[in-house]
Amino acid sequence: MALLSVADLTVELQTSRGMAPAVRGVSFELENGGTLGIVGESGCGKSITALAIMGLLPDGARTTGRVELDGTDLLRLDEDARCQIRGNRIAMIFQEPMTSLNPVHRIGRQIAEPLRLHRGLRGANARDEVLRLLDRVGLPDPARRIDAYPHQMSGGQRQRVMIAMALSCAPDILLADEPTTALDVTIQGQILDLINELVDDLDMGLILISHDLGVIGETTENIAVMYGGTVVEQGATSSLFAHLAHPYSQGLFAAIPRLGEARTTPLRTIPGTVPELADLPPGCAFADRCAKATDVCWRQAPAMELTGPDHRTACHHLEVVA
Amino acid sequence: MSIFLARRFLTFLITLSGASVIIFLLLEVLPGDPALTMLGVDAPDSAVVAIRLELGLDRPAAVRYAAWIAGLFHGEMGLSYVYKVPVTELIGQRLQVTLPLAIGSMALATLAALSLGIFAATNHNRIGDYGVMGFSQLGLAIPDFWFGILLIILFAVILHWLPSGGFAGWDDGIWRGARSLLLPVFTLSLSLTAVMTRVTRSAVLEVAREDFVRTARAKGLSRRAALWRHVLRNALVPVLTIGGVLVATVLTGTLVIENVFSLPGVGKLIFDAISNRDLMVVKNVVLLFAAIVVVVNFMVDILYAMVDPRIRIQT
Repeated sequence: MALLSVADLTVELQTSRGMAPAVRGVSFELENGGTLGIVGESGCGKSITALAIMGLLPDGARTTGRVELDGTDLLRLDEDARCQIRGNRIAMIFQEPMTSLNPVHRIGRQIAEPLRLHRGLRGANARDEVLRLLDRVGLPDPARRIDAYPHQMSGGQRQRVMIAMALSCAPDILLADEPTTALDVTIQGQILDLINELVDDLDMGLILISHDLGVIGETTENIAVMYGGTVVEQGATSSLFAHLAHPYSQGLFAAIPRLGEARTTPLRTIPGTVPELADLPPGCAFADRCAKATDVCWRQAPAMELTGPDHRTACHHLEVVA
Repeated sequence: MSIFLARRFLTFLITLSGASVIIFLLLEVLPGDPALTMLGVDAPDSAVVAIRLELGLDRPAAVRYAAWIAGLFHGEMGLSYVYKVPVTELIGQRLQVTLPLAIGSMALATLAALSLGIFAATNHNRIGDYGVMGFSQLGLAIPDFWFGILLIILFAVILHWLPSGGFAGWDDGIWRGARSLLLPVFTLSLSLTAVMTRVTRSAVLEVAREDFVRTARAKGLSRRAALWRHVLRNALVPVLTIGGVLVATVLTGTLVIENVFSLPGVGKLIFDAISNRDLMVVKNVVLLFAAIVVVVNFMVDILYAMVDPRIRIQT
């Protein structure tokens, strides 16, 4: 049985124009110690999927489907039971290390909070554990930094603190929502390496969310490409990169700038913008930006089809692969 | 820190000297001669001249100003024209009423506003929120004196639970004195509560949307625990700011409230002093009010730094 199994997850959010579907029928599985990358543009529903797994959706959101951790459907648990799981069995780190830490508390206290909550550690015991964690995430001079306030640290240091906090209770699954997007390029690599190393050492499952197909490709064993609230292509990273089947994935891949290209080569883009959640077309969400779109794309949503070993794609115009 | 304190003390002196000049000049141009007010308009010229000499009003304005300020440095505020006693003594007596009234109102308003504001924010867009906001709207709209009169009608005239006015003094025990201040404190705190409730509610709502509150929830903290441990302290800064500003409102509010409830406080003192052209009392009390406002806002600045470590005390 998979560690985490998300089946037909649908999330509707309250907007000024009524309920809008942000996630529609998303399914994926994460094995013990496995790694999954979710990739897509802003607004494709990848963060909402993560928040639905955490149970931290905005007020008024409606969720259907199943999110099973070791066979227990999290969506059916009450709030107290979900609090027991958050930060303990599933931990999450966020995009903005600048605003994700409380400015008025010392970082030591903030890291100790889940330890006190889930492990009952207090006082000197908690402090020793925090020091160990800070050392583990590579923060220099933990004994001095433990009493620092967030504003006294750099972005990379704060993200290390966030990671230490997420690791504190040795979770089964780490959800990392764009953990490097807000950081300098040089720091991005360090933080990704750190996450990879910790996931290996601690045998944690990882769900890495990013808009950067390159980052995902280097980090995770499996990939799900999301567009307009649905998964349009998913499978093993090697299989996917061998043959990107969905026009959107192809566009996303083509949009990565490459070194060595002539200076005059224009950056490739996907024409158009992400559709508004409230007025998604009945057919394929990508239809109005897709070069291959025909009548059927507008009328009918495509189903997932096998497009390679452990690789499935939802498109009406799949090229036939031998 | 000591440089900070020295600087703030200098600012304090500059603010107060500015205030003292303005107060003095305003009273200079105020129509109505104290000597004539004391003796009546039909008084013979010789008597008026004698009084003016006695009060020192014949001296040039600059000399009188200098004498006033020099006196303040010796802790003297001069003699009241009307009561013929030192102004310091008058203010000292009257503060026994006004200080408990002002502090009590601020304390009650802060307590009520924090509770109501947090309650409204946690019930955002639900019936409890609408209820609190409606109450706050009423509190802002109702004039203090009218609310005071309503309370007198209900609790003094109809129910006979509390006195309708006057002050029993502190000599017969705290309860007798406090009893006569209950209705005034309640009246004065109404509009303060209304303002601070709104600020608390919007501050809590704003902080609750911050990323670090989501982080706190992701650690496994319940909504309530995240509110107490992560939202409230961050929401305190705007509440402190408005609290500091409202101290001035409280002091001017005592003028009205002490008249409605016939309390012998500083507000009533200055009200009577203005009618009687007892300028010695007026200028000193106004300067005292200005000093209190400056000192309170200085304390608010120090509290900021205690609440939020990002706000460093400027040295």
